[in-house]
Amino acid sequence: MAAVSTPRPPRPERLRIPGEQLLLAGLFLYVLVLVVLPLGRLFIEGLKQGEAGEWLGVVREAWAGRSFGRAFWNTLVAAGASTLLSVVLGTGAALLLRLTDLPGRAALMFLMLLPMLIPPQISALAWIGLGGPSSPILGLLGLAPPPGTTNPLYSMGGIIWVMGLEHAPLVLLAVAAGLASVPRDLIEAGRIVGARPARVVVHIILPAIAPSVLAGAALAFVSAIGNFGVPALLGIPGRVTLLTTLIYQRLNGFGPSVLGEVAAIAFVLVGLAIAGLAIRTIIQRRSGAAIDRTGPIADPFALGRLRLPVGVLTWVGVLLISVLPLLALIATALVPALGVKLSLETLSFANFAWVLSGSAMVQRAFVNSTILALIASAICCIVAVPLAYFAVTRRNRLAQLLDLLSDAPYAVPGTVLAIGIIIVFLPPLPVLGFSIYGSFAIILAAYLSRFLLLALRPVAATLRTVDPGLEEAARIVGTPPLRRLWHVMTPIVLPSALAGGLLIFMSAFNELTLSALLWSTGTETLGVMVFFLQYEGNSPAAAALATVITAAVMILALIVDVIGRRFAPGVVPWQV
Amino acid sequence: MASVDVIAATKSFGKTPVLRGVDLAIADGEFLALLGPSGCGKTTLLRLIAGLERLGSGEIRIDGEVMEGPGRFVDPEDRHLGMVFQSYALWPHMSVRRNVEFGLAMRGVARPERRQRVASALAAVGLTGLEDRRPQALSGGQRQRAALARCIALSPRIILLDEPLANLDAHLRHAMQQEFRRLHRETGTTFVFVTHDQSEAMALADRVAVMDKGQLQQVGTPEALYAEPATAMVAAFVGKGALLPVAVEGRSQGGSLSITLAGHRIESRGDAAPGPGLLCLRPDDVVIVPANFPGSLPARVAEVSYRGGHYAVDLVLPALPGHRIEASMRHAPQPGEAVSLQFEGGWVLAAPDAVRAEAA
Repeated sequence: MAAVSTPRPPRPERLRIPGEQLLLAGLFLYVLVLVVLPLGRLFIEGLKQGEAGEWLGVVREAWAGRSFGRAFWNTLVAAGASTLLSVVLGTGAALLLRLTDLPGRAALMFLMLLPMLIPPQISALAWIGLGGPSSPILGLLGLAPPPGTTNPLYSMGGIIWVMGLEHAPLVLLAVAAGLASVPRDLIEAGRIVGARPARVVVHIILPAIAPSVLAGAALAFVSAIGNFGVPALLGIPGRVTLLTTLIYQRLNGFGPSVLGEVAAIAFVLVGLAIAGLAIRTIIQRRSGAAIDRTGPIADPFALGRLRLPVGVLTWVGVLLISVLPLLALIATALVPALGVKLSLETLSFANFAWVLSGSAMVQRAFVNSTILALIASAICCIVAVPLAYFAVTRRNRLAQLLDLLSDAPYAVPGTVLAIGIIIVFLPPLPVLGFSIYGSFAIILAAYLSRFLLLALRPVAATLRTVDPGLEEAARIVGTPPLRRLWHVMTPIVLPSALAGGLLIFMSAFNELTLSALLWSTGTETLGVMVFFLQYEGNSPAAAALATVITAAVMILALIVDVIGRRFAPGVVPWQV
Repeated sequence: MASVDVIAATKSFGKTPVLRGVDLAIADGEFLALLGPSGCGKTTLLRLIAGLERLGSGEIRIDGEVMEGPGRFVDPEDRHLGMVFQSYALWPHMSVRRNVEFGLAMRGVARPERRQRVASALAAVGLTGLEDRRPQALSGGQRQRAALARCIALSPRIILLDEPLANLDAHLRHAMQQEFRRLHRETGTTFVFVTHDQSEAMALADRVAVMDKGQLQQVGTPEALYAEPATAMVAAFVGKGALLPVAVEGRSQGGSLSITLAGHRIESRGDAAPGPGLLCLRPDDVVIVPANFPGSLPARVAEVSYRGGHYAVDLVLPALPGHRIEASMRHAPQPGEAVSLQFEGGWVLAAPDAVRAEAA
């Protein structure tokens, strides 16, 4: 059996002229223009000499400012504290859901992963609706803060809370995967020598999954560093500036003239993200050797008499965290105007009617986001299939390098990528002679850069599991390479590419971070629209729009889920 | 030190029955091997004794005290047993010393005594000096010893071993077998040892319990299993017995059985009633004589292979197509050569129902 599963890797086949080389050249151009140039130029721009000609003047100037210092500190505090919250929630949930016989574990898992499907700005909006003085839900209970006071979410604490919840699923997934790889024998050996379940958890299971917890924490930290939606909606009104919102405010206020300065600020974001990802990589390398065998998954511990109280507590907690804010969002959308108390008499669908057909700008945003998401997912899929084929199946060196580089735009914070895109596309395009800055195309360019990975990873993962014999058999019967790609490999990876494309559509459809820096009048996206409606003080309309977007994303997630389970196991991020 | 009683135990995984009514009494201080092909339920039976699985129905007692039965279940941590896992299950984040010490700490043993018991357990298995190693830094045999030390440090009343030698090479396996015998002698603890290797079971155990398809086939000393197998399965699984259809004629005055094998009358031993039966023949029960020797059964040499010191000779009987007999010879005959067979010994079993139906 082992002999069958480890076939000799086929010798890389030399590329033929001209179809294949043209295709590869196209892929190279794609990655060069959309990945290498934006991130490379960002560095060059930030490292420029200052106005007085001193070395690294731009960086020195940018980093010396008081607002930078405060934002840097705030970012560290917010990311650190929210990571702590994510770790506590994610690890606790993973232990409860994977190790005990709690009632309704599958449903609880779904609810705990829900925040992953909801973009940060909508989560923030939901919590604003839940926690503010005009909260329809707290109002019903008589618990709302007194009218006229500031929403308690508009604070560092609010940012930490919402980001911590938003990123808890990342820790949950990492720890759940870690738990699944703890051999059952280790747990049973502990019980045989007399350790009760609680002590088995503390002395055996927790040390065994520590690497997974740390890896999940690193991921949550990197996500928190790059988060824009939460600090934008909670921090800007609360006057708590983080690095991402500082960059946004600078670019928004002063335009492209401050590109050098924001590039220098962006370095810090990149540095923090790299530090987090490096820690994660080191942990994963190290922990590979620690547990050398995977066996059957351990039976859940029986909670016994505690099953009911723990079950009720968990359900209440999860419903409060995952479902209540969404109910608040819907309730806010049903309020006819800000400040009106929600009741059966006052309830109104006017806000939904307005966002769906009452505002030309909102409708334009619907059209823009849909078209952008469609084009981005289609192009990314079309690029991902041949790139993965050349990199994985044909083991072409250049394609492997391009594949590696495609990680970067997704790993760096979106704000950083947006700055790089502006730097590259602000000057007029060569030959064509016009600039795409301020147009639809620059947002598309940013999406094509950022989301390529979401299609590339599932396709490459599927190709890695495909028997190389399929490709070799086609070679033996004389099928030319591009035909092999089209007739043999493409049908095999189609479900994965489709799942990846839908993930891209979901991500692009309610994207805010990139478009917030790249939009202009006429090219508003839905993310920007929600942000601005809320910014203008039209919370009910923002909530209604957010509800519609969330519903659309949920339906898409359902489709992705089905495709993933049926046709492409292991490619959907939330399926463990 | 303790006795174990398994009474009418059944167990299913989903709809698949794994144990179908097992009764087994293990005596205090005994070394019992549970032997059977993979999937026969032997590991499940061991895990049931440990409390790692729950019974479908039946009862398990240790020292007469009910561990599991109607309305009662004692958690594995309260059974005071030791267990050595096939994977060894050493905790990867603890040193060898911590691995051994952990159980003592869980049982509330005071620190000075703990230290002393860890030292003597590691000395008993010859691991002194490797206390601070992590399990990953040990060889396979050392891991096995560490797992054993972890088990004996607690002085459990029973030690359960789940194919503990399966991951070792032949040489180490032999050394560890002697180690198990020595520890059993020195501690006097009851050992229950699961294996699919009949020679290992025979070499180690006082008694062997042979299982097949969730049922006990026979429990007895290794000698009894070999010489007097109770069922066709035991005869075939232990000691490579050939099974030939015979007709049992009756018992003679001397106590031996008169049987006919392919029209050829022989005397053998066994406990079958007159009617169709099965003759179990071991290689040393068969004597090869020249062809057409008076009072012998004609046969033909099918295959010859050298086994170091003797040749294993595979024989076919023209009178009984489809059956093969193995014999042992000091000189190699030619494949295809016609010979004749005489039999010394053998054991006659009552034929299973399927064979009876065929004969009728």
